[in-house]
Amino acid sequence: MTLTLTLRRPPEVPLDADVLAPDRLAAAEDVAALPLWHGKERVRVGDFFAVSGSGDDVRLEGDLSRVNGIGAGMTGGRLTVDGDAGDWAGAGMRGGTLVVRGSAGKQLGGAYAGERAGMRGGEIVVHGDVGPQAGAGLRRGLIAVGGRAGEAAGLRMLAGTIVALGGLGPRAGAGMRRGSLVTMAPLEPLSTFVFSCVYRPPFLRLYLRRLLALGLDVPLGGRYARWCGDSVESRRGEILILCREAGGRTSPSERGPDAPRRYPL
Amino acid sequence: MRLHGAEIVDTFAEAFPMWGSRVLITAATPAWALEAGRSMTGFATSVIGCKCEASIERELAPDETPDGRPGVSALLFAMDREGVGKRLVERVGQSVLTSPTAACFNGLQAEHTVDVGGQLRFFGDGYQASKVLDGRRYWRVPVMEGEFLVEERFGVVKGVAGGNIIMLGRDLESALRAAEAAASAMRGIEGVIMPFPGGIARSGSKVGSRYSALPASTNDVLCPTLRGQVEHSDVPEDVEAVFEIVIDGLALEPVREAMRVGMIAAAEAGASHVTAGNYGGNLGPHHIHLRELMP
Repeated sequence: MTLTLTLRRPPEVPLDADVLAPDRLAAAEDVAALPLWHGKERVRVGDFFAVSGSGDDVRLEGDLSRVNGIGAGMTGGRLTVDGDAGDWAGAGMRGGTLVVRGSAGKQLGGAYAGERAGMRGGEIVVHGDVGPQAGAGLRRGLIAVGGRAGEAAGLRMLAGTIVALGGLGPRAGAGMRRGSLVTMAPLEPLSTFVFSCVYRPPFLRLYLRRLLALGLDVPLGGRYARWCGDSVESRRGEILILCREAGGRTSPSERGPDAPRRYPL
Repeated sequence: MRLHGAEIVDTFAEAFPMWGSRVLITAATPAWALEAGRSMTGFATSVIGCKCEASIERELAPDETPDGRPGVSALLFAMDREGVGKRLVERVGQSVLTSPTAACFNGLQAEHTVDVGGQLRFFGDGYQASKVLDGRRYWRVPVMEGEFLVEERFGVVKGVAGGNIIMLGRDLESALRAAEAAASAMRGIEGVIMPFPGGIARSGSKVGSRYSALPASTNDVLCPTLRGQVEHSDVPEDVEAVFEIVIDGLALEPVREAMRVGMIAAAEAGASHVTAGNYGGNLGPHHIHLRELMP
């Protein structure tokens, strides 16, 4: 059973909508009566959305680029956004699947101020681009971006996996402890990341096949450069960068004298 | 009762419960997957001497494996769940972890699981990393070649061991041909293995011996050379060789099916008799009567 919410009019100021999560919607007796914040004004779901159907397979329709916190803290079910999503989509998420067919704003799957961990489980798939600090504080789970991720994706992440097919912005993985950042576009990692080798990560095949099943067009083959970091933390995380050139090797010497050394002192 | 010229003896195979698991091994090429699978299932013919029974179930095409590479599936059986876990840790650790390009996945969704990757991860000496995808945890263990990927938990189910058919032939060649045909037909059945070399045992055993230290000894009533020496022999006069195929399965039904197709194939290939081994019906709860399997 699908529950469909269609945005009837665009909000004048951002709409705070972390109630738009499958588990909360499925548990509600009257979905239209659930509270939202429209700026500082308290409103109801029914004021902005037309509601039809029921269940924990939720579909959001309309331009939701000014609706923040979609799927934040969700623990299960499936939530599909037909267009763009605003900021903080899937923030603090714990389970389930969030699919955004368009693009998403900043702090996708992010961590709220004062919290060390952000997303703790589940899967987020965004077909378009995402704003800054996607997956900040990520502890577990998978964030996949069909387009490009903004700056500082995986900021201070603890574990988990972020895949950005269209590339990662500057300062990707800053302060990360463990976990994997994966990109299919060229990237110069922060100087606190150390190059290890070029190889074919066996685990990545499982992830890429999963992303294919979730509807992203990913290349299954290829070799990846493995950079370990962040050295300001325990350097147990990694950035994996798909090698495009024939032969595949991107060693620091080929990137010029200012590139980080392969063997740090 | 005759089938394609073979006498089907009115008897039954006596099968008993054993816990089983399915291991999926993938590698860069089918040859390396097979190599790892053969190594992992080596020296696992009989639980009495090898602590487990294991063999390759079948080869897997890339679209059948978790990581999209060519692979094999292998089944491993032991007397209890704990035994399955111990044997898997030993064998995956010594034979799959070590094998070039190989990765190892659970091939059985079951209520009970045993920890395998969660033990082998310690080989990574602190550099191991885990990944959780779709509710399943995998371990990445750094090795000189790159990374060994192994799933943390493997499902175990109460399976059926000791299914068998015994083929008799007028000479060694025809008996072996019949046994080969039977083993080959059985390999087409999913969920079973035939743990002896090439699926075939030439040395069927009886329980006990005249030596106190030996729990099993040669099945004298089916040894053609002893026909003139023992008080009672089950070897007819025109029979010169006997082979047995032992079948372990993840459930009773595939074991029955393997016995059925094996019996037909053996009869078609020229066996003079097909019979089965049992312990008088007192040991195992599953009695599979050959004549009930007749087409």
